[in-house]
Amino acid sequence: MDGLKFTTSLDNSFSKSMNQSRGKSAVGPRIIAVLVIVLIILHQDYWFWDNDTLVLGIMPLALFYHICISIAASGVWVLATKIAWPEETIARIEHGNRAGTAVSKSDSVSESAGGAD
Amino acid sequence: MAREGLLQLLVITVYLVALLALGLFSNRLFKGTKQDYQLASHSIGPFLLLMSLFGTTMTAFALVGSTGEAFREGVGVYGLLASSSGIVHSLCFFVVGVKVWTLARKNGYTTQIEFFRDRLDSNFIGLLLFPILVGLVIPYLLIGVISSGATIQALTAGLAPDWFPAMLADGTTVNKPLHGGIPPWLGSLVICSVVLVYVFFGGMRGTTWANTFQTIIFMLLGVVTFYVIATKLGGEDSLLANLQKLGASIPTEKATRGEISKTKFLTYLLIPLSVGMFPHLFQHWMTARSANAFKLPVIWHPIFIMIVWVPCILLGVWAAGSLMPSSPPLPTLPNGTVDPNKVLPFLVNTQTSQWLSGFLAAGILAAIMSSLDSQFLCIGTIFNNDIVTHYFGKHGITDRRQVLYTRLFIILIVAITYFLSLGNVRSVFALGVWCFSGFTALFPIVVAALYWRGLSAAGAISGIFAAIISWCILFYYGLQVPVSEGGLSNFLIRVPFGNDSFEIMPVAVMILSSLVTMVAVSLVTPKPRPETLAKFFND
Repeated sequence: MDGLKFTTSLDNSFSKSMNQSRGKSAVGPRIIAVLVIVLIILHQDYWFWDNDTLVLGIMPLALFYHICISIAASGVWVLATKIAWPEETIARIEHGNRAGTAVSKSDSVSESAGGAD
Repeated sequence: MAREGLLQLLVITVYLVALLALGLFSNRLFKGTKQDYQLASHSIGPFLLLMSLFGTTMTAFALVGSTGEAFREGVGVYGLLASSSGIVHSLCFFVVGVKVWTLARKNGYTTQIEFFRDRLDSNFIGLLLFPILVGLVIPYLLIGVISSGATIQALTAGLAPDWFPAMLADGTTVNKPLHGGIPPWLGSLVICSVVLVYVFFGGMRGTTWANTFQTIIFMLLGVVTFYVIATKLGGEDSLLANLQKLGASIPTEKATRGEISKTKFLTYLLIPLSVGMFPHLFQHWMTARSANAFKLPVIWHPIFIMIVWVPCILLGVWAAGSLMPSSPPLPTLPNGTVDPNKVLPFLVNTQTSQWLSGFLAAGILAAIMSSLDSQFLCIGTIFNNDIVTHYFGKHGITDRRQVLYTRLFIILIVAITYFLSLGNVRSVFALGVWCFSGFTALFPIVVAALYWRGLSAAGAISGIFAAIISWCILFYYGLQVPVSEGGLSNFLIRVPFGNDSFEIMPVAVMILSSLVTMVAVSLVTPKPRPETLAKFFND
């Protein structure tokens, strides 16, 4: 029961923090989570383990395949910035900073001491 | 024809002078505040953030080590270390970096320890993490300092045989690949001094600019070196014809992954998680002007890794192939096997001009220094913020004095690292993977701190103890592996399953220990106060 509560709260917290834009659902972060899992599975390409084919006569298949994984990873991250970026959280923080609500913990000490000597 | 090693020395010298000039120039923009020195006043935009994060995560291993490992184990090294990092590093930037940035800007943190202390309402966690983080960063620093000395020596060989003789273990035979080169103690000293000067004067702004400059240098030089060596080894008219000819020369065992076990390949995927707990990356994240500045690094990091690693991997497997000239022979270790770390410098020395050799030396040093600078600055920062200011600054320490303390601690750490680097070289290289494993073992703590309100201080502290205790136990067992069987760096855990046994990386046990302990203890111990949680969770 406690384990279930733990998973649910972690999932909710992750989804909410990754995408809190009004009008957008939490589908974006979930799509990205699924795609990352797919990438990790594809990364374990046991099916090409002993395959020594040269792609275009230039490079071994194992290397070519993993270059494709690198490119696919970049593609997933492009998508992540489009559908799973926590825009609202960022906007709220940046608005707060502009309004002067965020002060470095030790800056406040320095300021109270009269700033730089 | 110039004296052997002279042009290389000239190029290295010009490069180091340019770096010093960049560091000193960035000092002219220094505002005199602690925030400017440690975080460049949160002024770093997307491009500089991309370059500095990439430069910081890529060490000498990306150029020299990848070629050597590919020579030894074949093309599987790319999947083992590069494509996995492309997935995991960006994941850490996205899931940890962006979130940490928003919380740190909201609550005013500069270091990881400030974040954990506040999140868990615990001073003890700061005291616990300080020695652990410093202890794990120092081996990482040592790898860079030692590699820089070794690189300069190998690429300036022949410069001054009378001044800098290099002999084999028997004391009478000349060690030709190193004879006459600038000795490692001197090369490392120069590199430490240059990094110290630009970090001392330039702070985070100087470090970020230097990282950007150095990242551009080592990426460009990697590609140029690849083209020149492919042309020389292939001997055909077009690049495509050379690539095809060299592709056909790769031995079958290097074109497949027969020499890497599948479970080792799987558990190696955990190693790149270490970037989520690197204290120097945490500090770089804090320099971002806005959270949106993270988009560029998140997207381009896998592609940048590919640009640097693919040429190096191909050079490594070509060197093991039939088109590699047999004379002069590849440099060997005392036991007669080829020294993998010398494969790239050797290819450059024998297959390219002295000029390019000098430029490549500069490229390798760029990769090394772009990690060293951030690590030195970070240790100075956590010492000032988490020890001096936190415990002795109750009545206020001025910004100028805090910058001074940060700088003094940087000098101390540079000196300690330099003197440690004069010790046993080989064991330090093995510490590389172990220091990454230590950071990975702490990764569950940072993820839980960001996404699980149920994490308690006792849970986090127990998780950290579990990570470190499991690290120490496995390290002890690793030390028992004889050097003839690969020593510490080749230590794997064998898990019996039926009639078979599977090899797994020690890091898998470490991360599991910290994760299980952290969750179990958190479930039965008091949670942080509601007002504390409200600072970190909006829902």
